[in-house]
Amino acid sequence: MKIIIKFILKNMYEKKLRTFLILFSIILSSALFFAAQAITDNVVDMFLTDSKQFYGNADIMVFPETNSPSENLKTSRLDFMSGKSEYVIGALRTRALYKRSSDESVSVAVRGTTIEEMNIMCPFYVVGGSDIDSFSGRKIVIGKTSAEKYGIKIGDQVKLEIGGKVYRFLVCAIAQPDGYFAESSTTMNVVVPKSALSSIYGRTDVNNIIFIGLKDGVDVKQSIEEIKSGYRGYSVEEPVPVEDARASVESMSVGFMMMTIVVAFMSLFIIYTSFKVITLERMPIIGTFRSVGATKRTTNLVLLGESLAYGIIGGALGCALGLGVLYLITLFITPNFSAGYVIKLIYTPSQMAAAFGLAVGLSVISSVLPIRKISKIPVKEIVLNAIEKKNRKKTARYIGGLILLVLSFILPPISPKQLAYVLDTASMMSSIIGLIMLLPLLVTGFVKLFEKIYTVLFGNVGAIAAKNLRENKSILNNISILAISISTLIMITTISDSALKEVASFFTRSARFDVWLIKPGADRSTEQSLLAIDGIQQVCGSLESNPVEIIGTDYKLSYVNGIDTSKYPSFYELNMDGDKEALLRSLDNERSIILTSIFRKKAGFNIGDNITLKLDRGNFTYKVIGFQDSILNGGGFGLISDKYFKADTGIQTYNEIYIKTDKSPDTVIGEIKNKYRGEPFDVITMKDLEEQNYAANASIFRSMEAFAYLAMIIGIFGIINNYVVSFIERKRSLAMYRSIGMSRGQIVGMMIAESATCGIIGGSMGVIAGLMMVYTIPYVMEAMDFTMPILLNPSVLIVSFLLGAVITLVASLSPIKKTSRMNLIEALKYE
Amino acid sequence: MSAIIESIDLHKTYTMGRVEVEVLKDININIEKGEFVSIMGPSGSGKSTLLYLIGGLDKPTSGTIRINGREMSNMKDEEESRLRRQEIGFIFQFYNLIPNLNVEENIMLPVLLDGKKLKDYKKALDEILDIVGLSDRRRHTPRELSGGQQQRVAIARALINKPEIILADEPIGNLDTRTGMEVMKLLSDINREKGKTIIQVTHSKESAGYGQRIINVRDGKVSEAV
Repeated sequence: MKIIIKFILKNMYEKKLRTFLILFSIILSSALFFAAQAITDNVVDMFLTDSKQFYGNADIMVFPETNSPSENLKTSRLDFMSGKSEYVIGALRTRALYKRSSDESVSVAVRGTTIEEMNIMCPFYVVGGSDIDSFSGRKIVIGKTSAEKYGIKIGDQVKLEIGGKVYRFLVCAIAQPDGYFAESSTTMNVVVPKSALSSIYGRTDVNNIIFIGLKDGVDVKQSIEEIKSGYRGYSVEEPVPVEDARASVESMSVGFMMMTIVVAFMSLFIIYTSFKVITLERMPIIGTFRSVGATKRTTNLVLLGESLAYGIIGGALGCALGLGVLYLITLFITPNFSAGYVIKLIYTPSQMAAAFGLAVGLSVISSVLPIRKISKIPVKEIVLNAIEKKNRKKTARYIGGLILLVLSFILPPISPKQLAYVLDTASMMSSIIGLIMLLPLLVTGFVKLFEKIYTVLFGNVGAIAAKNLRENKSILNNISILAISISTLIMITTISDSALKEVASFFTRSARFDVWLIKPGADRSTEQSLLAIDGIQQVCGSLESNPVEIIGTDYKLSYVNGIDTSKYPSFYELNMDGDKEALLRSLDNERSIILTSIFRKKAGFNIGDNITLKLDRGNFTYKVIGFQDSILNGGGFGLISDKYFKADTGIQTYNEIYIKTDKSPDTVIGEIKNKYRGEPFDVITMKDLEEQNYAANASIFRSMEAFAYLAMIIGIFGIINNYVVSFIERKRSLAMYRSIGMSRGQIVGMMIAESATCGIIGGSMGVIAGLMMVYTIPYVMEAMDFTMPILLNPSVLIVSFLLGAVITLVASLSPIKKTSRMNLIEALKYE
Repeated sequence: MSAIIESIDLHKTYTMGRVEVEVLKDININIEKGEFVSIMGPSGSGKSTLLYLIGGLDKPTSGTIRINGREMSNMKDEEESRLRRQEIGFIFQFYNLIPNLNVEENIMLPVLLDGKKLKDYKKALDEILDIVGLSDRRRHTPRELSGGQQQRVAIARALINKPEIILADEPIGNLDTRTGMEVMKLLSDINREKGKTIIQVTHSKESAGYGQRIINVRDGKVSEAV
């Protein structure tokens, strides 16, 4: 056994380039697979961490709205929860401005609580100062990030403007930048004694927020319903809807997983071709083993042992690299508002085991066919190295390839909805597999064409170069690799460009306003006061509900918008069929709703259907009267009249206000900021919002594109390996060319023409396969309940095609150099 | 008769690792036009090296080789390659045919490399295929031919550009006796009827018997036998 293992490891060590190629393919595949599995948990954690800054580990929070009966919340109403809750803590929260100088201030979120209660809700660690045992009076705890950013030290006095008055607080401790103090936004989070904040408000024992931590196993949704009954007119909600966050991240994870499948497919192909060479090389050794009594099974096991070794080493290294890839992807897609988030790398042992299993499986499965093939060769032929090469007819292969190609065209439009995702993805793969199966036939056709063109362009040497490509396995492999990598690149670039363009153009196409304002508690009076600002022309408030269940279905709308039908169309372009004005009138006349086309495809609703929405004041039936084209929130929202919205939800305040300006939006924003200084609000120009949206989406898609480039890097190494193998196999032929009078220049010219032709054919095949994949994209998208116009950028096709030619040319440089320096006698004389 | 090939004070040294091995020492030979010369000697004696030096596939360490009065050491790669295309034909022990080209295409390679038009050589191709007896195999690929047939293709390829010199490195070393003798008879006929100068490297006395002169190489030195 020891000898066999030594033999296997020595084989791997001797062929360094090939070992590197196989391991590289396996490592990348398993690393990407690991990262694609774990990315959902990590992104969800990122959102949770971001939210935990404000809500800690609470499961439910209760807070007043503008029209709530009182600003003050009594915790005593929650006594009935004592058996179900770990804690019920009332606290005070407010917004303040940290006055750094007369003209510079920073937004501050102030939490008024006790250290004990803070440690229950949002545990924190002090890294500087220790005067928190007597946490009373005008004292303040700040986070390390802000302390360093603004040069605040223990013992400093910090000036906070609260409700228009400035108060001084003594810095008594600096906290570790975690949890509440993670401060991933531009807002500074601070804790002050609850009594101090209460006294500022001139009252004692007041709370404007209650945090409830439930015991393990207590149902959150049910508890919310129970608490609501005691707090009518107040907001009772989950701080972070984990399921919603998970659902929105999962579609992104599907994208990463699809790219992983492509990379794994590429690796499968490369390991398979490498093992074909390995088994051929091992023939004499297998012959020796067999001649001394080894059975077929033994020799097969030795070869399988080699592939298993690649799988184990690749899997172990792949899992390690996977952690790095996971870190990078999370880092890439961390939005700006979470820039301070410390990536934790969340994964489960089963995810790592699956990645390791993929590595081993990939290696073993890829090697089984070549090993099986060699085991069928008679011992005598192996020992004498006289293996008859059977010139098998490829008719079955061509028919199979053709069937796969036809299927890839026919299946997507006809596949049933339940199976659409699986069948459409399979069609995508079958288009490329079908093309690879047809390659020998297609290459023969190409070669005939090139023979004629090259004879005219480069003379007879060009014609010889074209002839040399016939039935050349290395060339066929290179073309296959190029086809896979180029088509993948075209596919992901097209998806990415289309999605980003759609996102970028959505606001330009649909939004007809300049500034977007979010201000809690905003109402008609806010609209009026905004109109008083110089430069603001028109305003339109938008009412927005919490997530809405559609009773009797599994579907949920992320929110319902209550719109003022007289104003809304001049602020938002409604892309929908039918008489828009009549439809908007209908919204006011009866309980009716306009959904999105995406939601229509997802839920299968039609015009005239009645749907029952679970709103704050009960269940109400709305009639579906139209569908608009909108990608906003993944199409998961509906428009209803503000009249019915207010009646059915009780919500009277605007979630957001759209503003039209007749001055520069930036100037107007400056004015708004001045007006609402010290109050919580968020304001952004549409241009900035568009850029933010683009950047957030771009980082996700660029990460997916990185997967395609990784597949291409594997491909480049595969092509280099094929050229090296091809050079070894062709050494004798190349020396023969020299012997019959081919000059060095002619040899170099011939090899360049060969690789350029390979690149041109590979590039063309890649473009064809890419186009076939692009054909399937809308169907796959539809299966994922997402539709968007697919924009095929011709420059992507041209660049991909040229990339193919450049890759093959660069990969062929080393063999060309070796050819011009090779020992002719050695190459010609010895077998 | 005039010497078509001359070697003057020819030396060839190889470096193997740190050791320098003198493969050929002070070789002076003349080969006349139309001669059929066999180079014999034990393995490793330097006979193949001598043949490849004559064919310009390797460079001597010192000394001179003249082909038709032209000194090869002064030739650049382009000129040397043209010489191999037009004035020298090579035949190898392992045929060295291109597996994915058919018989016709393999034969016509030197013509193609010389930048000539294939249609101008159609008649010459028919004639050569007739000489080597492969007219009915012209569309076959090498893997569809026997060893003897493959060597005949190699001979046809060596003849297609009508070179004056044929250099053959153990042309029957990979063939059975009967096929080998058939190939030797073909080479002998070509020498006699076409007046080609043939130099072959061989281990076989029987094969050497087809030539008019034998050059023995032993330990890098030559001695002649008639």
